[in-house]
Amino acid sequence: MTRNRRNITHSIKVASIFKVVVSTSILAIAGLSYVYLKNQLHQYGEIQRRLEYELTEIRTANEAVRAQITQLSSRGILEKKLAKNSLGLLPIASDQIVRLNQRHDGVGDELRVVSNRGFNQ
Amino acid sequence: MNWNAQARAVTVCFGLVGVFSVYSVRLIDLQIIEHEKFTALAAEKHSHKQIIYARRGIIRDAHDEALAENVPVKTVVADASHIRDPVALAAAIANQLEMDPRDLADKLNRTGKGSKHIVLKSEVPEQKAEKIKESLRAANLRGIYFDQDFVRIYPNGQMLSQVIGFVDHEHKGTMGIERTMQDFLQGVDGFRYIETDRTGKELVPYRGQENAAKDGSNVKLTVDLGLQNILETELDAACAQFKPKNATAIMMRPQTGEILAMASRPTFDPNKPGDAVPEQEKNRSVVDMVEPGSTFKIVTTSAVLEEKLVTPDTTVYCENGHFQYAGRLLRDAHPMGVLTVHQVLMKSSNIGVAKLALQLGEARLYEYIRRYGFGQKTGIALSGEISGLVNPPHRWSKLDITRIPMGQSVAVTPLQMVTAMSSIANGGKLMKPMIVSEITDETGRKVATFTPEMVRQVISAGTARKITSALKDVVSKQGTALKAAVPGFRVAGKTGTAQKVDPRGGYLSGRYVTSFVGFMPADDPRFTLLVLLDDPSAKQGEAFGGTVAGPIFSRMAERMARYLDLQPTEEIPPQRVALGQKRVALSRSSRD
Repeated sequence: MTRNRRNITHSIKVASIFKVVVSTSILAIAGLSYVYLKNQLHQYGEIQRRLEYELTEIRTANEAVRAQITQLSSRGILEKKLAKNSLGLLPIASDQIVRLNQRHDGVGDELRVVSNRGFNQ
Repeated sequence: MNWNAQARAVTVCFGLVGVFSVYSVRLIDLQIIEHEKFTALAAEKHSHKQIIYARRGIIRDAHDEALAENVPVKTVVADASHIRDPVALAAAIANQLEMDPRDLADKLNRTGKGSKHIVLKSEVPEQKAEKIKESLRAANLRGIYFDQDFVRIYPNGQMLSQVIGFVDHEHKGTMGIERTMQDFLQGVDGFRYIETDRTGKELVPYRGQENAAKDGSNVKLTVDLGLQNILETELDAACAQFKPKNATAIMMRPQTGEILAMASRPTFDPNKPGDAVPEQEKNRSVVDMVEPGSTFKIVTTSAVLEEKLVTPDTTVYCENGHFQYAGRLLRDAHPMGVLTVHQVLMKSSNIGVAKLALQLGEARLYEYIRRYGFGQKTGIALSGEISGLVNPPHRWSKLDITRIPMGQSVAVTPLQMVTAMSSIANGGKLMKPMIVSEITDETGRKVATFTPEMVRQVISAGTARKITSALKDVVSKQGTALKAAVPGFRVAGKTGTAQKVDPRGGYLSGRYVTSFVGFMPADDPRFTLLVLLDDPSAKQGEAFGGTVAGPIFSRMAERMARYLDLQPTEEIPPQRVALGQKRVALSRSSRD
């Protein structure tokens, strides 16, 4: 064998090893990244599911409370409470209502000059 | 056989090729040839169509007070494939579901492992469902799930029940607004395709197609619950006093045709529709027809005035209470001689109005009856409306021309009657009655707005004024309805006392449908109000529209005027002032 041939056969192929290591690493990183991202996806999916559930529960609770408020403030319930608490309320008699006559001369709503002399002194 | 290395290698290679070929064929079979079958199997096992329920719209009154609401509830379901110990599970939740533990365990066992959706109990309140969840968590049990559902509630109970209606177990409106507005109220359920793991938990990354739910629209009525409350409490008081077979009251804004209040008796609670009988569920304002009696006299009187055949001062001889026509005797309640047209309406003379109708003729009378909207549906958004009964002239007997003007031989719905009176109040315009004012979506955006609709000009404004003038005098000492008067206001209206029709033919003696329909204040009407009592128990000779329905009208209208803050146009009589002072004094002493 010539010297050159011996060199070729037994020398460490750094470039090839580097290529293999790099490509394997890339593949490994890609694979691990895929697994990691997939895992993340499931974790975030789980968080999303939980938050959606909580949101639905809050909305439902809100609706239940709103319905309860509606029921408790309905006329029937309020009238029962009124009767129970015996507030002794009576309608105001017609003669007890004093109405201010509306002005129809068109002056009432206008801005008018007033004398401030007394206040300026 | 001498196996050299090459032969062995070839054999192994062929072996491997053979093995991998078998695997490949199987893979092709699984992935391509039987793809659909296995996809379907996988989908059946792990994929589900999850329904996203739409919320049913809310019904509100004119001031946004809720009339129909939704209460969220849960349906408790079991998935037998996830249950390991049915007995332990039953013991944990049976008490809260108000079920016997043994029955529940039996139910879970009987249905077998394959059942994925066993409904255990529906309409479970939210708080109770939370407690069940806590119990399951504490006992580390699974296999119980909760489907979202709702029940419809009507916070005001019986109030306005026949107008609002109710929904069936599928949440579909079966009557009233719930039925007529079903398409707007129901919304559209959404869905999403999901995949679950073996424990039934959703795998969100594999979520498929999703369509969001579209909540139902909210319906706003023209009804004012404050006025409705007045109308119903007074109607209840009237029913307690007179014990009629049934009763109806309607309040309408004459300028627009808006229904402000509407009620019928007997009634029911829409929260418990199963307890009601059909008679209670009837909205008699639109599904019942009655002979209107003398309230119908406004049609003939306004027609002869509109046709300029007479003036309000034209005189009619009322035959001293006995008028023979077509071989039959027509009577007046009180014998009357010569009356003006104005007085015919004011004193409600049957003979006078019959003579006016004879002057008008059958064809024109029929035309005006139809122009007022009788014999046809008003088109209000309420279920089951009927058109009433108005025969065309070729089917009239010879007698009908004298009977129809006084409200016999025709049948009208209470709503038609109040609409016709409203057309007098508003200057002769027949308005289409409306009960829905607007529809909004869940964000409050308007989907539809309903505006007042004029059907036709029935009579001129001048004729309407002449009729109003006579109707004002009806509610006076000379008229038939002094008891319908409201202190501080001028009321225009007409009484009706119709003999009840005998189903076997003819009329029932001593049994009446009494009514009063009027508007107030007469010169600037803010509302038209009808009160109708079918077969009231009144003293002999007192079952008249003026003595039964009139006072009810008065009480309702007085309270309504106060509620609407109407300024009195007349001086309040002294006895009323004294009564008012007495009331105030009483209230002061009760406080002291």
